[in-house]
Amino acid sequence: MTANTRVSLKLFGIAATAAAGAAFFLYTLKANGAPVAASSALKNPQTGGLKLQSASSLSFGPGGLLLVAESGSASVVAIETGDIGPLVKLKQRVDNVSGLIANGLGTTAENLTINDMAVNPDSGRIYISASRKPDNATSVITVDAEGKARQLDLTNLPWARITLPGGTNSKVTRITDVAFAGDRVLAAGSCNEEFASKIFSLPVPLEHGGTASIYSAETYHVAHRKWETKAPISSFIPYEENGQSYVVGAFACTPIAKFPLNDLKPGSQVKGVSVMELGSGNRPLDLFSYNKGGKRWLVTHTQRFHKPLFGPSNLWAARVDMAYLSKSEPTATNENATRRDTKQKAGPDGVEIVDSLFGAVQVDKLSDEEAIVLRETAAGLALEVAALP
Amino acid sequence: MLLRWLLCLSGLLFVQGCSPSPQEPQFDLRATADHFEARAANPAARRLLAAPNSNPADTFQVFIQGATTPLFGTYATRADSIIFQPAAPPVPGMSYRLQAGSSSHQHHIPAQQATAPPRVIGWMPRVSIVPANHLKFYLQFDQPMTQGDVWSHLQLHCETDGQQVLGAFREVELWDPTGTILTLWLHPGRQKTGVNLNQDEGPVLHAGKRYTLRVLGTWTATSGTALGQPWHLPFTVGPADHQQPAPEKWKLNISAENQLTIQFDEPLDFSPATPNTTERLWLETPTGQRLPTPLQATTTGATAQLDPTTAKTAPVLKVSPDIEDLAGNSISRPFERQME
Repeated sequence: MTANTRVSLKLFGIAATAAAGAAFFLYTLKANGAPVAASSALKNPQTGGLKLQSASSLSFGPGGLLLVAESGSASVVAIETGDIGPLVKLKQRVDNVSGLIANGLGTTAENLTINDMAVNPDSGRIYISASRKPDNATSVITVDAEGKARQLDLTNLPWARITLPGGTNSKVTRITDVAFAGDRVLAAGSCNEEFASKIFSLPVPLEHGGTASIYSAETYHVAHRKWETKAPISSFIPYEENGQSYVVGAFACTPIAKFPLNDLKPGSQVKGVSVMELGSGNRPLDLFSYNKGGKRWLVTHTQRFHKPLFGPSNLWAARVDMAYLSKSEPTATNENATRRDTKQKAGPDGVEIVDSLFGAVQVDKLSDEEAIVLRETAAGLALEVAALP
Repeated sequence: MLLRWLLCLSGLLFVQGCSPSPQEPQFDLRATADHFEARAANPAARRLLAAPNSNPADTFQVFIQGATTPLFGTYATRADSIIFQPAAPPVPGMSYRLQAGSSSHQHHIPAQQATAPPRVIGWMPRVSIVPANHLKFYLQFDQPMTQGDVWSHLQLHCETDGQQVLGAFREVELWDPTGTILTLWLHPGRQKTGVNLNQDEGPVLHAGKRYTLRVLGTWTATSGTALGQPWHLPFTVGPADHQQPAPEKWKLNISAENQLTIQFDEPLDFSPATPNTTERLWLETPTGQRLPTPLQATTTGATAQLDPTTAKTAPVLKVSPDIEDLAGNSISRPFERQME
């Protein structure tokens, strides 16, 4: 402090001190358990009266449990849709879905924003969150196998809302992704006053009015060889390996990293291990995994800032052999993480562009053979089934 | 006759002009501020509603003008009527076509009187010079704004070069719960030294150059009224800042009127959402009890009005270590940290 300030401090008895320790609240998590049916996934559920303030991200748990990231309230809303199958996939391509949904919401396609899309793995039904301009009215729309779109009727559905820690004080203002992970629901969020990577864990059953544990994550950033404490996770999937639970996340500068969730101690940070660098100038939109050919694949769906490479659109996807995620040795992680060959369509071994996903505005897994794609076309957005390689 | 029926079906003629047979279900159709209603107008319509397998969505549909897909919504069937609640509220200024059985009705909702255009009433940081590795702006409007494509209404211009800076923002919309305060990140991948985007594209800002953040007049509030007039925030860029804020260099003073003023050692990052900060700056008694006295923080400093008793009891200013400067350097750690 300056001399004058010292005088002031002495005179008025005020001292400036930095409070010790970061204000993070962490709790040890249990290992993942068996999947939980939707009927037991909610605790003290509400029925009726649900009005979604927003729906920035959608995903499904078992038994038709729909998870909605309600960024406006920094909350996760879980809804028992009762949509439990049987599985019937979209029978044929649906053209101009944007116009169809816009008309259903009382507007035109140019005044519609598609926020996210998720496929219910039990039924194959497609769920789309959409907002209308100028009033930001938000709805969840379903599209069935016949291509028929309708509003998800929330009138009689059980639901629970869990506000993330600090959410009502606007610390977390956008939930970038949410996913069911056995005995917990995980969410990743961005703060409006802090460029930080936060992972939230919500215990299952999800209790209406309950809360979540919060983790602060740091990742080794492959591109500039520094520990990246700040970059928010854009998209993630839960992942288990040898009894360990992980979050596998994608970041704006496109490293793929995994974060171990077992054995966390209160007050600690989650340190991620970077296993893959996909190349610069891309923004991850979605992640999902599938099994094929005796391998488990991670699909990263991405928007490229620049002109398209190796395909017709700057919306593209790559698949990565998830064996790369098992690597933990220093010679294969962080500064030595595998880098995608950005000059080629494929390479190194187990890393390749997925041709069927070019132009996908939204994509989600339907099965180990196919994905549902909301694709850009000259006549608006089309909804269709795409084969996975 | 064919043309007449086509007009009836398209809703261009009113019910009485279509001359349906008495055996066809007829409804009186009306709209309220938040829902639409079809009331049975003849025995055939009442029989239709009472039929055990009657689906109200097949009987009663509402369309916006020119649409072939009906509005989404939920139905409630009563003894002699169907209530349709649209998924999104009806919009003033729009025309709707109500269709039930052989009845059709065109309904226009009068446009609202023009509301006052939205205005930018606050912003951060409140300085004319920002560091070259500056990270974010906050924009505060006087009413909720339309979300979803804010990037088409925001531009960063380099006045020194006379051109727009493309790819300047991290295109993730971060709104406060009221929908009036937007956090606007300059792309961290470009602003952070050595990140691949920084190397490939270069930084967003360059020291020594002048810039203007522009909010275009096309952006509307949720009322539908546009700004009309663009809003500009000019600023100059100084050298990059890699130093952490140092509270020990802050200057504190209490006036004769018991006004506490704190002058930061460098501009700090506070949002208009939380000028009344309690989580990052607060006062305690010498024995560690938190005082309710609020601190009003802005970019360059903070103030608090102390009561005379508090002023005499030697309060302690507590500072959270996660307070950051404009370049993201916090009290606890610099924004860019070498690998450990």
